[in-house]
Amino acid sequence: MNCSEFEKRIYLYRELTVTEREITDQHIAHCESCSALAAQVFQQQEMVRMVSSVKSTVKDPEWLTQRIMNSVERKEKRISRSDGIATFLDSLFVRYAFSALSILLIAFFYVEQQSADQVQPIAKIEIKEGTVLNTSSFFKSHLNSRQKKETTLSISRYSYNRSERLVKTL
Amino acid sequence: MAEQVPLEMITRAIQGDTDAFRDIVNHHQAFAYAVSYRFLGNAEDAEDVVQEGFIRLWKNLHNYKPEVKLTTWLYRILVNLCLDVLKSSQRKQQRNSREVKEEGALAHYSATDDDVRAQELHELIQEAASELSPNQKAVFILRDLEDLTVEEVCSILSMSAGNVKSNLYYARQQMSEKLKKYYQTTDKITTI
Repeated sequence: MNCSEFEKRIYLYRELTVTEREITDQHIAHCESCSALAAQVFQQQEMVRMVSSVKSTVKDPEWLTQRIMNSVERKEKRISRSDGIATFLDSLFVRYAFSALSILLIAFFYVEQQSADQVQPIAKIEIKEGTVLNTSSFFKSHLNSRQKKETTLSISRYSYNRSERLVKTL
Repeated sequence: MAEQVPLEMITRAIQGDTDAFRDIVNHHQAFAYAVSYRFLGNAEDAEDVVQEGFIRLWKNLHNYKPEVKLTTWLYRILVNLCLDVLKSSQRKQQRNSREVKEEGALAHYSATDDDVRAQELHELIQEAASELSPNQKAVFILRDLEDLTVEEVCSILSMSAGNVKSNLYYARQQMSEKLKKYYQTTDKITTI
């Protein structure tokens, strides 16, 4: 074993087995650099041990306990409330009520469907064989509507000219 | 590690007795806070973690197995919460290390608050620990500061013994470097 391996053992001295400690101790006794490192590490570990006895304490332990218990009780209340709802929904009465409601809804849907089927279909216009479609009536109505549009256009043009003239005279 | 609470008290708490749980909280609160403070170096965060830790304990108390110590279980919950806080934000971690420096004088100590040197060392080690990786920090705190056995550390952190020792080696090495630097600059090593 070389010094770098013993170095690791020095840092982990507390975790070594009895035999490992004996071997390490023998090396430290003969190696100057490892002996110096061991002295330094053991001194520092002693300092850390000294610090381990220093423990931070809560400023107000009662307040913290109350804070913890408040949140625990709040959670408990929430759980018991949801438990209450769950037990209510799980009761036999509610189950029967929901089943009855479902049956009623299905029945209602069925009745609605039936009534929708009774709607009269749009009467079909039967066209006799050999009938020729007369387009003159369609064109007549088209011409009438065009004439009407033109008349309204000329009226609006007349009223616009008149108002323009009025503005000029004013 | 804190003393165990009677099993009868735990059984009553499992049955929903909040008064029994209050006794458990009173019994373990000091150790829970001390551990959380060592991890986070900040009173406010430590209190939040303690609160959340006890809430988790209450919620999962029905899973309690008497063969596992309640303190080991609580340690596991607290360490996980602390590691979550540490991992969640690097910025927060930096802020904490600054606060450790600032709050050092305000921190409350139990029996040895008159020991200025111990207090100074405490702050120094807390600051040095804040620079370790979360796993190294957890191993260092549990093994060297909380003085738990390697087996307990393995159980709390769900780590193998080899992994624990490896993290411990690097943590102690870094800690040693920090302490060496500090005592070289302040020339205090002779006074220890």
